[in-house]
Amino acid sequence: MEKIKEILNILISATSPSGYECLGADALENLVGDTFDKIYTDNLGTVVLLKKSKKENAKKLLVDAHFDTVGLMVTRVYEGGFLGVCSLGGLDTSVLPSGEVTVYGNEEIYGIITSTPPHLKTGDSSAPKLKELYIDTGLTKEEAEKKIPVGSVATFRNKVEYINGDYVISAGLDDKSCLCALLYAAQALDPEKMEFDLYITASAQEETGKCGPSRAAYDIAPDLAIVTDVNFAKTGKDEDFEAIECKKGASIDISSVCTRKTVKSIMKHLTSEKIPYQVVCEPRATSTNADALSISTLGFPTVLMSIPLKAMHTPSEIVNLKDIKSLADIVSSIATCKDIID
Amino acid sequence: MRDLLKKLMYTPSVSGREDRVREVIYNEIKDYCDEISTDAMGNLIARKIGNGKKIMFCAHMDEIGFFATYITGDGDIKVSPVGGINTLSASHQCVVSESGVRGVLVPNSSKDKPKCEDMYIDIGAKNKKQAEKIVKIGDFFVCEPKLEKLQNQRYIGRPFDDRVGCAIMIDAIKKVKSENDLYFVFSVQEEVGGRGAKPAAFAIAPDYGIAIDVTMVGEKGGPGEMDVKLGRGCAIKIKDSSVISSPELVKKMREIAMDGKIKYQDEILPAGGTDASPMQIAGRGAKVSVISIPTAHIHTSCEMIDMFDVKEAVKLTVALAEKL
Amino acid sequence: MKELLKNLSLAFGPSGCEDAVRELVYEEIKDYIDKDSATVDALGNLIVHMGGDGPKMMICAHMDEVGFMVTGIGENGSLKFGTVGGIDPISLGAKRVISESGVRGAISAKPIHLLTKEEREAGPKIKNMTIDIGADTREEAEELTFIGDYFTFDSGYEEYGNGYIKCKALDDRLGCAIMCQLIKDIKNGAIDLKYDTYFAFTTREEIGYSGAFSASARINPDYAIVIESKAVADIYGVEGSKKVSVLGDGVIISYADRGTIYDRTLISHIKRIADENEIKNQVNLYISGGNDSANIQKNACGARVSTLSCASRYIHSQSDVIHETDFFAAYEVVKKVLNENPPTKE
Repeated sequence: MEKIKEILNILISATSPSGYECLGADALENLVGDTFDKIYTDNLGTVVLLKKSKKENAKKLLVDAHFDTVGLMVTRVYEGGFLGVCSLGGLDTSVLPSGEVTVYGNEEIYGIITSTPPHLKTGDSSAPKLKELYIDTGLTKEEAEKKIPVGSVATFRNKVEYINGDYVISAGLDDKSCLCALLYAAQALDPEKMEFDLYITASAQEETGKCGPSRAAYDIAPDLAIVTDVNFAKTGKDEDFEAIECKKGASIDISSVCTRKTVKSIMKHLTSEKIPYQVVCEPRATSTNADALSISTLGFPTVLMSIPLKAMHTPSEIVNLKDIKSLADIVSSIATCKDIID
Repeated sequence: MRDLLKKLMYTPSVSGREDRVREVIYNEIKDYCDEISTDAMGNLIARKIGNGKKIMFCAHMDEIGFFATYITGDGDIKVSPVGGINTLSASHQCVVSESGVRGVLVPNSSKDKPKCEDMYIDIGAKNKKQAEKIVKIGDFFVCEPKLEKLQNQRYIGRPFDDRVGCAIMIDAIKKVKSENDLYFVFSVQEEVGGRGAKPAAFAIAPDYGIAIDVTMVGEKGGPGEMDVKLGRGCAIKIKDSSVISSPELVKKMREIAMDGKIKYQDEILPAGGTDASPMQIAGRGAKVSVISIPTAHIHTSCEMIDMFDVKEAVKLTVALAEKL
Repeated sequence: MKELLKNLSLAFGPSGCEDAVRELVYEEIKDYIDKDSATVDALGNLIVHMGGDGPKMMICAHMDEVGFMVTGIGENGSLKFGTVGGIDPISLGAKRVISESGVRGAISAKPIHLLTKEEREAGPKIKNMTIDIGADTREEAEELTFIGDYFTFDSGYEEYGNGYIKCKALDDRLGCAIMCQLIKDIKNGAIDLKYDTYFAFTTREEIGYSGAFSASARINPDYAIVIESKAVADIYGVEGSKKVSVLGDGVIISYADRGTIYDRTLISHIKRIADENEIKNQVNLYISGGNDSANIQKNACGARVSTLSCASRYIHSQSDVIHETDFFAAYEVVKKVLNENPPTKE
């Protein structure tokens, strides 16, 4: 688990709001060191990591985890050094007021998201709208304009805490917990035993709907694709009895966009290897990269796996390290298995 | 510039019916490029061959308008919108069909923003039979073209969206001298969701994709959170609701603009999209952004631009083609 | 003094549980006071009598902060809670919290993707929130916490922009910090006391049933000055009067708030001293809030009261923000007031 923590901490501290993954790409490349045979970044910002099998004519396995996180972008500088913002990705505005952010202007600037005291509020009590929130920089307008060009991005100021043993609480676990599992798995994989050339896509712009891996897949033309993303974990409320649970392992999605035959074959393989997993169902589309990836280029078998996560898209997402380990085990097992696809 | 713009604007061409304006553009540029072709969807693709980077510039030829869908017994024309019509502004405007039939668009509704399905065009026909003689189902109508100069360098008219982009590209094609491999795409069907640019970008597979299109302004009734105004230069798009521009390309565009002393503004558009989005995701994807022309009252029958911004946009287009 | 403000603000002390703050305050001042001059009363107030000739003056700041109390533990290990003091649910989403014994967690609500339109429009409600401490079962949770346990915001100290300070609980550790410094000044001879002066570090201000009651009953002061922070809306987009006051424009000498109409003689006296010494000061442009002075004014024989406040943005959230100019101005004014003869009574 220490190794997982180490990888996770570095991934989380890499700044990568949707569309601006380039800010954290160096940290990612430094992290993986010489584990991979080839690393490149495509036009959309997706970082592709290739680890080759020693086998001849190995098939290609693409495993995707998106590198981007939700974030904010500065749209305007107002009197008093307050910054107007728009969102990068689907942000839950109810978690913003009084939160702390770092603005990536010409330098890094500390800021607090405004919150009007209740007794001075004019409107209703409903969740605040992004238009009514500003980043308080404590600077004058002139200073702020000089340091913070319109279009500068901002992310939550994050604190990673490990609580009650194996739980981690942090911003950006969507989807860096999955990416962590993939890098952990790749580092341990023995090229002699790999049945596939492993392409990991740390993809860009998942949160803003552009499906990074579809672009990369165009050049890779994989024989099998696995999309890994987080999914809502059960929180104990009645309505989410269908949800997956923390600590019970990664899940395999059964969905209309996933290739049923491949899903079944993976489940059969995992069962025979006695590797535990959960199952979650999405009758229609999955709202992940799997949707677009499954129909990109000429098409290839696509499956979706998830890590259960609580408090999605907030600065306090929660994941259990055991589930990260579980996803790593599953991916390793598939990468070294001959019979998953024909 | 003004004459060229007028010629383009006065050639009505809604989405899917761009052939006439394409003809005009073809004649303007045919002597200035190495290759010129029209693809299956109708995109006009002009190339200036070079050994450098492959850059695709893209401005759309189509405009918003209406298709005639039904002729009533009274000889009125029921219509369906093509693209995002502002029905408030279109109400009681003079409209003209592809064959030159004139009429008035009647809102036929007491609502502030009438629904297109309630509206009809009165072409002065006495009955269905008379109407059928001059209008066929499937004919398109547009609000009447217009171009007037106001004070300063401001112009009102329609459709600036996106004939002004076409004009800028035509002007740039004539001026540019570059080592880069340049593609200038006059695209179709942008107003119905960027349908034309995607196959063009797929075929070209450019390194950089740069759309040239109009954007809103944060003044004159536009979205107040936008920091863009008329007359402060062309805009470099950082984000809109369909695209986050490549940070690398935006940085280069800013640098090139600054080097060339070209006036520009940073643009974040809260709602709306351009051909940059399909260029970004076609095939293996491209690094994209947009050179925007700040425009007030977009998609109304009286859009407003500042010619200073247009001139700066031409300069930036040429500079990018040469220096990227 | 900012270092002291930081240490005090980071201390754990929701209303009714101020021990850690009080101990820190005592540690800070114990070398500067006579041993018998400090009293801790039954409510936990720390009262320090510094002596001096003249009418009785009570300087007062509260030690407690807003926080959370665990009211129930679910089968799934999540904690139901109530707020200790007034906290706007809008400032709670996904914020980190920490218990008295150092257990960390986050406030959790349904994710936005799963909310119905009605729920989204109704806005966040505390009854729909829980604290997640990473426990999966009630048993696991009970090993880490208990019903009745306190939590506060787990949020650090930052200085940013042009002189702004952010931390949890600046309300009212800033008052505590100023009082500690004044006690040191008196001991060091920097102040020639013109009053028989008491410092009251009070408890339970945030829940209204304030420790200041018993403190003022014990002291029975002629004059009282409360050092506080005041909720303001000094942010972009709020119209002038509703801003209340502006951060950095100086200490607020209030003429009235929702709980108190302040003594005119005393506030004119203080204002004159501030102006004569060129200490930045301002008035509140909107009547709102309240504090210990309401209780001190009408308790026992009554007292002439004043409140000197630092304007605070985002008060009662994890990010209390004040401006250092105001903080030092508040300190300077009280220092000068104690050094000057009392106002002549009208």
